[in-house]
Amino acid sequence: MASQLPDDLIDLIINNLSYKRDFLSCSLVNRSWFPHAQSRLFMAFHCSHHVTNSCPTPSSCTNKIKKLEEIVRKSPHIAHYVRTLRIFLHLRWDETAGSYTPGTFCTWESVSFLVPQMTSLREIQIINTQTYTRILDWSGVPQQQADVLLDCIRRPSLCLFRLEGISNFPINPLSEARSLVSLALHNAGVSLRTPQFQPSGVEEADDSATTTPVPSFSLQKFFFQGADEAAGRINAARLMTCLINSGASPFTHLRRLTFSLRRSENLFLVSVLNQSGASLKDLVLDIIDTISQEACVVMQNLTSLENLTITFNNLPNSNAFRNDMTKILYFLSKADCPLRKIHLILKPELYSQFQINNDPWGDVDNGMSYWIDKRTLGQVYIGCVGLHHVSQTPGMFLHKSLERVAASGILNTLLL
Amino acid sequence: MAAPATQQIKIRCNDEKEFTVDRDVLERSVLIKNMLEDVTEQQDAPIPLPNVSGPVMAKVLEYCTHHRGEPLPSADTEQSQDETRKRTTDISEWDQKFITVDQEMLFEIILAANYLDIKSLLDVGCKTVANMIKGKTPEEIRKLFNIVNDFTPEEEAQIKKENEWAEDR
Repeated sequence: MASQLPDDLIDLIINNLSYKRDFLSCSLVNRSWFPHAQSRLFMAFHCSHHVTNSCPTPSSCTNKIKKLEEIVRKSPHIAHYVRTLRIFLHLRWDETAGSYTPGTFCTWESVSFLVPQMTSLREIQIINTQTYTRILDWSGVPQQQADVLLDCIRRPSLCLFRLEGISNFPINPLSEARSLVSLALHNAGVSLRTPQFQPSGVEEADDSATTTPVPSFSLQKFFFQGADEAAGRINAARLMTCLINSGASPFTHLRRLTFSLRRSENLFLVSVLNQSGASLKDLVLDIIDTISQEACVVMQNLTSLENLTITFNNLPNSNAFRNDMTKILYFLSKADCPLRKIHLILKPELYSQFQINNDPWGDVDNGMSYWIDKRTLGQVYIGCVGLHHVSQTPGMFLHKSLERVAASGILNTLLL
Repeated sequence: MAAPATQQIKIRCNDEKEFTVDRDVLERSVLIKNMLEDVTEQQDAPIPLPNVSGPVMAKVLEYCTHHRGEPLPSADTEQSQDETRKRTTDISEWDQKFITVDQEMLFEIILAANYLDIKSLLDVGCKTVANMIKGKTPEEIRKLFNIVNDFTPEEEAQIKKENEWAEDR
């Protein structure tokens, strides 16, 4: 009976397995089971190898890449199994230039052969291994390597793209990734030095080298954290704003937005929220300094919002916190969204600083009242990151709200 | 005020066995739900289900009756499950008891759930088979499910060689 199962059911069964040894066994059962099991053994390919000047002898990692090249040359179908490609880029100290530059892969020949064969790629992640210490400037990546990697991004099958710790990344090849639903710019900057997007309704200019089609992808998830280098950060936000202004609508189906907000990026946040108002369900906002009035006002368009997490990182005083918090909750209440979860988080340093002045949570009472009356709320977390002692927990200051929350009996969880 | 009477729907299996079932129970099947939505006038003729036999349908209906009223998995949940790629083979106690049947019936239920488009039942069936596979050698799997090894020795050697790469990771 099992041998009569159609292919899609064999695939569903094997999809419920998780251990390599089970996939290895299933791949040797018979010809029908073989591709479904073997494909899971080769689903992800991680290119994490050493740079030439620090890798005099082949490491086990470089051996692996070379071995995969051998296998794929004999059995090309293996490359089609790869769905996730993770490329780790390294920085090395360049004596001549007197600066850190992107290293060259010692297995580049293998990589440049393998990557174009991976025709079913769904996820590409390009990660700088020193993300939190040094940003890697994409313009320093050798042209041949950059071309191969950028070519991957043009794949129509691509669903997820993650860029980490890299600035000046030419984002325009993404305009060809029609299936892209998840984009993460993590500590990253995208380049404005690349060709501009062709505004919709405008005929293609004669000089095609300076324009590129408006991206047609529609994101469901967007993670934005600009690189700490000021230029990279601003570039990322400006380029994305430029993309929207060109007539693209990549955020109209957005469901989850994680946004690390600096003052200069408020305009970009407004653009994203304007497009995603009807679809956005999860909003995670990490406010580095301040949120603009305009960005708060646009929150009244978030008619589908269910989960809200806001972290305040760097406010000048407790009044600024109260202002921001009150504005956000007020405009959200205008959206009449089915909010189920609110997490409000204040950095511990700020908390101790504000506590001296006054109770920082007092005004949250008014903002929260609406949601308590609306009875959609299921979970509230109010607190500080890193504070574990009850005596230091600010929740105790939420006098009126806390009483009303407790009395309303609507909450599943109240974390203080 | 009395609750409105639940509409009763007739279905006919491939062995002519007929069942009369509450509409909400039958609507656990997306196939039947769509069929009923397409029919504007009430029809007395039973809905033919040529790919399901009476005994298998009886089991399927037992499952649907137990789970009636539960929310059907939406496209969103399916998608998020797919995204997180958390493969869990946990099965609830009732479902586990329900699916404790002989192997032929197990595969018949899987095929019927697939045909009738009852995702939760299909999941239970597939998870059960996956649990049976876990930790077994290829030979043990073949023996368990009576599968013939149709690889040539050369093909088998070739696959083992290819798999070595993944094995080392």
